[in-house]
Amino acid sequence: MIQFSNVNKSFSGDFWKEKKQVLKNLSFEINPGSLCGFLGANGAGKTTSIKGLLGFISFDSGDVRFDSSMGNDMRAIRSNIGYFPERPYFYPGMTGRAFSRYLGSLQGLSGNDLEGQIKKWSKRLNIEYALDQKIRGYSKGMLQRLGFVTCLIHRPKLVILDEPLSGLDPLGRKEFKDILLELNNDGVTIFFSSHIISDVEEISDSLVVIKDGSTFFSGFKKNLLKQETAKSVGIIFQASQNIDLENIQKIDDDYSRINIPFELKEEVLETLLSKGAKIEDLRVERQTLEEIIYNSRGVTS
Amino acid sequence: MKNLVLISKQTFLEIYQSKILMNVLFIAIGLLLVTAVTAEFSYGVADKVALDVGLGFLSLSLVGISIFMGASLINSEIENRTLYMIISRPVSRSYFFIGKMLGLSGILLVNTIGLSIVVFGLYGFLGGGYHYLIPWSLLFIYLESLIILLCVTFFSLISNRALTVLITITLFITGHGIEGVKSTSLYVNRGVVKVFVDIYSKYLLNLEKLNIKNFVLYDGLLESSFLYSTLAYSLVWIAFFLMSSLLVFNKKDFS
Repeated sequence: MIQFSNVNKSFSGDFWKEKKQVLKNLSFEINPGSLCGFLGANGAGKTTSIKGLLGFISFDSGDVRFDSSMGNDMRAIRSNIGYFPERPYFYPGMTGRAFSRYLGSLQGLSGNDLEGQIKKWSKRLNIEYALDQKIRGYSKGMLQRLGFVTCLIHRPKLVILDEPLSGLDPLGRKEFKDILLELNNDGVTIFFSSHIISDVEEISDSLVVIKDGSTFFSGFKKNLLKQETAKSVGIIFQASQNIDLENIQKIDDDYSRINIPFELKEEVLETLLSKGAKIEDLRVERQTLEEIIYNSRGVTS
Repeated sequence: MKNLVLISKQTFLEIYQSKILMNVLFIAIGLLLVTAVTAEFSYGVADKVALDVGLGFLSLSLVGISIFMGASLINSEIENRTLYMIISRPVSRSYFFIGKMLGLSGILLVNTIGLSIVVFGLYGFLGGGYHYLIPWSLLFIYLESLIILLCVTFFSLISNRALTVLITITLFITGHGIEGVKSTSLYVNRGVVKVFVDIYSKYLLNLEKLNIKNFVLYDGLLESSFLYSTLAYSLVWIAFFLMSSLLVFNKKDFS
């Protein structure tokens, strides 16, 4: 659906200052129909990538290509994109309905189709009751919901979301996640950035992880988990005699615990059983995506 | 094309809601007061005074709106990032820019019509007659405001708001004052000044060319070739500032 190839971008605050390279040979691919999470620390280059993707900024070098099903020119491509910025921006003097109509009309919707789509999505996102209020009176959560309505009313094939879940309460986050999953089940490709890794892990099937402007990982989530996860086994046991194994931790007078690499499980279990230990609990432990990303490489801050 | 109309309409309504057109009311009251006071010592030409003051107010009102609304018209969209919501849709940057300009031009047009009705209503009431240069005068005042609008918008894309307003006001004053400099001894006696003023008045923004108010007031005559060449002059400057602005706007990074 989208292919980034060796994309570079530098910024300079003032012309006499040295340029700071934000994106460094960034390359990744998003497959059609995927629900792809875009992860990285603050300042890693997520928003810059999305801004370049949508043409708000130009890249210094590199190439961004859209699938031919999206259209042949930028106008056609944009009519198939639903974009939701990090903090949605509105005209405060307009009502939610007027704003939705305005943006829907810019996408070529009109008449009953436009009204129907506004009604459908505002109802789905629980903002229908406030559509006739001026936007300046909306709370942050209401703005997020209205922004999401305007992102979806034109039935986009590709939805690009920049931190869509930030600022939402747990209930709101669940609603948004459910909608993303529904859309994805209907064949919509979703590309969303976040630094809330647990949310990304929960709903995405593929991931793009960037670190300092470069690709750290791009592909299916399960591949990252398989690739990066060192499985381990935790055993809690009761021993009547001293057992000569490394990494045994005393829990209390009766119980001890040992964590071992998955490959050594049979060997350690044999040792424990031969020494008369009673196994109280045994479980295979796998790192979560959050642990991989936080602990292994320090991708997020 | 439909999107261009939508953006223009939205811009027009947004500015309209800011109650900027209330200035017509204030200017009308001001004009009535000034005319009432000056009529006492205008020796039977109160209509001319009303017309002179009225056209002056109209010109200043349009230029004021152009400068102060134009300086933030595109900049506020960039700063508030509402621009993101529009140009992420099938709307080209050029259409967005032109749409915004047309929206504010519409406000200027409504302002021109509203104030013209007030000015010429008063002029007619005081016994003033029709002169064939009146529509031309109004057209040139309107075109001048468009030039100033595009000028201020161009500078707003490459500079900050305060500097933009300052540069545009300077260009407006210089553009009107440059012909007046020619009658000073400085111009006559200093070769360098003469060369500079001649170059400026010929090749840079000479807004005095659009000022035909005196011909209207004193029943002067102007050849149609002059009127059409002035019209062409205005359109060239409008095209110049529009093209320059589009060139910058289309290349600008909205980071």
